[in-house]
Amino acid sequence: MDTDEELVKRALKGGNHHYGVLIQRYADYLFGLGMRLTSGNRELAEDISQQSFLKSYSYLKSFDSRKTYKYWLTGIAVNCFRDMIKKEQKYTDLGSGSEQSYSPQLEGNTGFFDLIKPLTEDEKILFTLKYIYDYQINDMADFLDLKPGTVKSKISRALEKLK
Amino acid sequence: MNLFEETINLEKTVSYAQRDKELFSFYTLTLIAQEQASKKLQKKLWASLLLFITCLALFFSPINQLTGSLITHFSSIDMMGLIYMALVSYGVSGLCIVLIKRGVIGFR
Repeated sequence: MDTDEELVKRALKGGNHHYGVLIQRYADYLFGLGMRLTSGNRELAEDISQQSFLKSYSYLKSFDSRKTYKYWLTGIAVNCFRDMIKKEQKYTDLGSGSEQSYSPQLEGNTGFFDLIKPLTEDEKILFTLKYIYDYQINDMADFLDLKPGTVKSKISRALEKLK
Repeated sequence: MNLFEETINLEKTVSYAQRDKELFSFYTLTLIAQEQASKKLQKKLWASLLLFITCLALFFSPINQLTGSLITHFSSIDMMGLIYMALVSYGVSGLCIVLIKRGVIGFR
């Protein structure tokens, strides 16, 4: 099986179908991340994963192979989610527990979505990345372009809210 | 184990799947191709616009005045002097290269 880095190199040489392999490889991962960040909104999760792949392709030349493609893609997805929220302020209403955010096709653990409901969007991102995906403080700081200290304080604030 | 940890651990076991991964991949690649095509078209349009503006500028500019001033400029140049200076400078630099290669002139 080709590594992600090899596929990125081939995609850069003009082979879009190689990028298709990467899409198929990480489609579920990004969709899952999107579902968790949007509290189970399937449509938004699909939008986030698609936007992330489109952005990733546009910036593929700037991919730093010292980090994994998955790591890089996670950062892009998280920022896509943030951009989406900024663009659509109405999303906050969807995320705050209306019927639409818990679609009938939801396969996830609604207990988790209920748990993170009181958190702000940034806190949701950090909480999910830390407790579900086991990312380190420095990684999260890198994704969100924040200082590690800020990340730590945001996480502890989130934990306070959940107590 | 408290409820918090239980919920987190339960969520970790949940796996989410796209409805149709192949269709999703195909559609995303189509969007990428569409974007690339639109960028190419945009570039072509800009180039064409630039060419059109240049042609228009040339067409409307006082072309006779331009060519006249160019001709007078080139005719006033002393061609023999120019050739003589070029020959001398190329000759001197060639001589320098030869001397350097033979080690006659050394740099410390």
